[in-house]
Amino acid sequence: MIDIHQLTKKFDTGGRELVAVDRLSFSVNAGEVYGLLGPNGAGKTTTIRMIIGLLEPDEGYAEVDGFRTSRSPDEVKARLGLVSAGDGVYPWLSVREMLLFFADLYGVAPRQAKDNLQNLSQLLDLTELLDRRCASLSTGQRQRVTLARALIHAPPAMLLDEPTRGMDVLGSQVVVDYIGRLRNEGIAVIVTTHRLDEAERLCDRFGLMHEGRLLHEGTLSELRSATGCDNLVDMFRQLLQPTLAASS
Amino acid sequence: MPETELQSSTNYRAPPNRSTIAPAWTGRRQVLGRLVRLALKELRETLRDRRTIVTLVVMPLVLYPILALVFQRFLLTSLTTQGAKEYVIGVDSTQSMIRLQAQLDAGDRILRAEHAAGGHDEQDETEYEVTSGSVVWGELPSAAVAEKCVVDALVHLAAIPRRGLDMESHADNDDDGLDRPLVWKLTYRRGSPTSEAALRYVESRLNAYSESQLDQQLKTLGVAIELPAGSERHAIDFSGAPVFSLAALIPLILVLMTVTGAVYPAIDLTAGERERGTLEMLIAAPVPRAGLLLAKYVAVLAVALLTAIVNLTGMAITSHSTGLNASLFGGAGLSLGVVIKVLLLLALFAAFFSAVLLAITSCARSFKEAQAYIIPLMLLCLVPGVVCLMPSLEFTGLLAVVPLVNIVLLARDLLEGHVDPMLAMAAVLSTGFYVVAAIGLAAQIFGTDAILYGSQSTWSDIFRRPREPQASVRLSTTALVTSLMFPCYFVLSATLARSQEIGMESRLLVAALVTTVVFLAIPALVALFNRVKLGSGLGLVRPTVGALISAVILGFVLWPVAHELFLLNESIGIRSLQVDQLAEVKSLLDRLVHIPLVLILFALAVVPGVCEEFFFRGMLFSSLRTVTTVWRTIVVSAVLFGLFHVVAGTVLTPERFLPSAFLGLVLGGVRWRTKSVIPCILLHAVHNGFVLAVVRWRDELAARGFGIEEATHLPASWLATAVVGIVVAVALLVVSTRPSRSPVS
Repeated sequence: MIDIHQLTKKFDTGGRELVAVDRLSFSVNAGEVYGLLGPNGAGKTTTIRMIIGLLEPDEGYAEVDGFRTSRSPDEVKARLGLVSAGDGVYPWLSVREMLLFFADLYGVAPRQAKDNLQNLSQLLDLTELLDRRCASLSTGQRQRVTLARALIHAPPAMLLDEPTRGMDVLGSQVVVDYIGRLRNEGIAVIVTTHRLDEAERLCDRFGLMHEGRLLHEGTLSELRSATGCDNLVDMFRQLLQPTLAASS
Repeated sequence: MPETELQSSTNYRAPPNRSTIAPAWTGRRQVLGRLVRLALKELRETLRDRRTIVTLVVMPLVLYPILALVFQRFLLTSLTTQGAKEYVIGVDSTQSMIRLQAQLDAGDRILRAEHAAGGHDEQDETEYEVTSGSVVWGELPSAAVAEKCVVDALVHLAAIPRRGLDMESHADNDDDGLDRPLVWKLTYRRGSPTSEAALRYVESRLNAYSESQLDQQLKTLGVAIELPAGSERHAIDFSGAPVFSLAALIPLILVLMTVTGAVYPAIDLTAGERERGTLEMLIAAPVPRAGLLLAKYVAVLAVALLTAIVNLTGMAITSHSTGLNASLFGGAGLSLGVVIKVLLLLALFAAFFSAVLLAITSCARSFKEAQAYIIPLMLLCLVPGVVCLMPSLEFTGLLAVVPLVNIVLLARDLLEGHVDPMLAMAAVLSTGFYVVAAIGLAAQIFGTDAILYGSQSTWSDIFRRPREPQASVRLSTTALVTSLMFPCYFVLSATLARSQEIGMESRLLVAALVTTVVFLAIPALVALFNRVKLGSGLGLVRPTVGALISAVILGFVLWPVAHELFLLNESIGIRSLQVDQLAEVKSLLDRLVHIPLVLILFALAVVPGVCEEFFFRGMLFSSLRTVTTVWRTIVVSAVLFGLFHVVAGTVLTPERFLPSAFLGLVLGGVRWRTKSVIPCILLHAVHNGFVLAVVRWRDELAARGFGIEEATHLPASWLATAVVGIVVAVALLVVSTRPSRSPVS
């Protein structure tokens, strides 16, 4: 469903070139949850932004359902749902108005949009919130609305960039549970998170990124044999060891 | 239900497969509807915000009554603080002056005595203070010109006795008034504070004198008689500008208020979106950024217009209810017609300013940053308003294309009741182009990664030269270039037309240079910078021989139709050239006879053909084609082609629009069929050259029986020949550009 091929992005930071993403390649199948993990500055968010077309890659390309982002940006956007940690809401619109507005943006027919809204409201426990102004929502409620917004057009693939950042344990559990449901629905999911314990439970495969490069990729057992570590936390420590040593 | 629990549901729709994904914003029928819904959402969100309501409704409700109080106080204090104010009173003769002065002095003495004695109420005191002053006498040539002298502000007040004064019986004898009562006709200008003050000055003293005399008479005789020194008012309604026109302040106030209304939504819908984290969600949706921006523009414009309407209504109601109408807007006051005209002008201003605001706020990454950008702009808005207060400043051709200044000056002239329609058209047209330019600029910036993720990109990325060759120049860039070309062309053409000292040959060469710079050099630089492919982006494709022949034929046969369209203007009432300007055109044509034909053809046929086609059927056509249908591309490029041809030196000639737009339509059709700009260049040059040749040899042609009068229709046989020629050329064009024989780039 999602194919990344030699994706590269460089930024000019005050005359110095920073390679944020360096020849990144991986694939995610339908019904698979792919955990893109790495420390801050690894290039996870930049990768997600390039996949959906918010950033233009310097080299390489991303394809979603056979459509290349650089050639058919709208086709790619129509097939993706994006949830970012920094996603906001329209304070003066009600939850219903906001969700239907995005359904319209994605070209969902009004009747279909209402059906999708009803289903998502039940699944994400939004029914009581539909006619409330977004400004009055709590953080957890906002995050659920954001998730519903990304799903309102029933996309076959989802990009979740730190979807639980800033949420409490209970709130983030809702999101994590829902990601499991997306897999069952046959949706391809790429998720970036710092919650390594949840990632272990949730993701089918992992890509460990560091300084823009994909250092290890595979299932948890494959990573264990490749790194010799038992869990993701240890893998991360091992990953960051050269950097920590250099800085000390 | 706790947040951690998810309701299980079995009826959740599985994600659609690839074929059922809605291709958002691709159906042309749906685009407009979605755009409208998008704009309505933006508007709904904006209008629900209390801050918008405060700016929109509360501000005008509070501002105008306060302003009215300030104006009233200003008018009042400008008189009370000037205790020694001089009133110029015009009289028809020395005798009248002596007589009136004596009565005024007597009245003044009475008033002063009453004032000193304290036997007066507060109103009398104010009246006395307000009307205190001194009199300067002016002798009018005759009583008949009294009104004119008041209108021309030579005197503040004219005082003419209702009957001529018989000096033998009246001289130096006030008491004679008992036998022959005297009534002064006091002519003043309504709406002029000084004139009205002079009236009150004279009336109050004459009344005091009369009452005093009447008291004496009643005491003496015990009977009622006529007042010895009565007076009656005679007001003149004056349609011209008041001596000091507060109307000059009005455009500034309205402009500032309209700006105030548009600022908040513009910031909120761009930088505010970014700050809230909703901009990324919008850009991630399959909606063209230009569509998003356009919806935001409509919303900002709607709020700006609402603000303008509320402010204008508030101003009209306040000025009527407080009696400031005449003082502010002259004799006729603020009529409904003027209100509607000003509202239309404010709509134009709102369209302009909303676009500028969006272009600026699109650059900002936060609310604060946007405010920092807007404040200098608001201060800049004060400049044209202040400039407009200069009474000697005339609304000229150059100022008609200076953004903002043109609208404020046009508003001033509108309020003062004298507007030059040509200058008004130039101001409206140029502002329209600036709107397009600002939206084009905003489209370049809005939602780019430099704005979305400012920490990772730099400003130079926005205007970065593409690494790969581009199929065409982006429409937003072309819109920006087109909009900047119009004022450039207008100013350069006007400057050239005013340079009378330049000889005819040099003038032709400079005109060719102007055309080259505006229509060839600027677009070519833009195309070069954007690495645009010559074929797809500029139409520089080798055409078929048939297409070239067809273009030449069309070049020869189109002019009769263009001529008839030119004449059609008159029948529908479009005629801008005055008799003297027509004479000037005729003189220019006469002088062409003495210029070498090669030079004429080079400057007025070859250069316009190459340069104008390079831009209109080359760059503009290709850019438009990327976003719309062939027919819309042809029509839009033809309309712009027609609009540019309305500019003719220092004047605007709307009668040139129809024939030029018609040629633009044909040239667009040729460009579409041939995919090449070269036949268009040929057609354009042949058409211009042929018309110029006919003009140059018109006397010789007339001598051989082919005379063409500019104001008469062509013979039917000529038109029939032209139609046959057009049919043949079009047939050849269609045949020669069939897909199987299409040229290879």
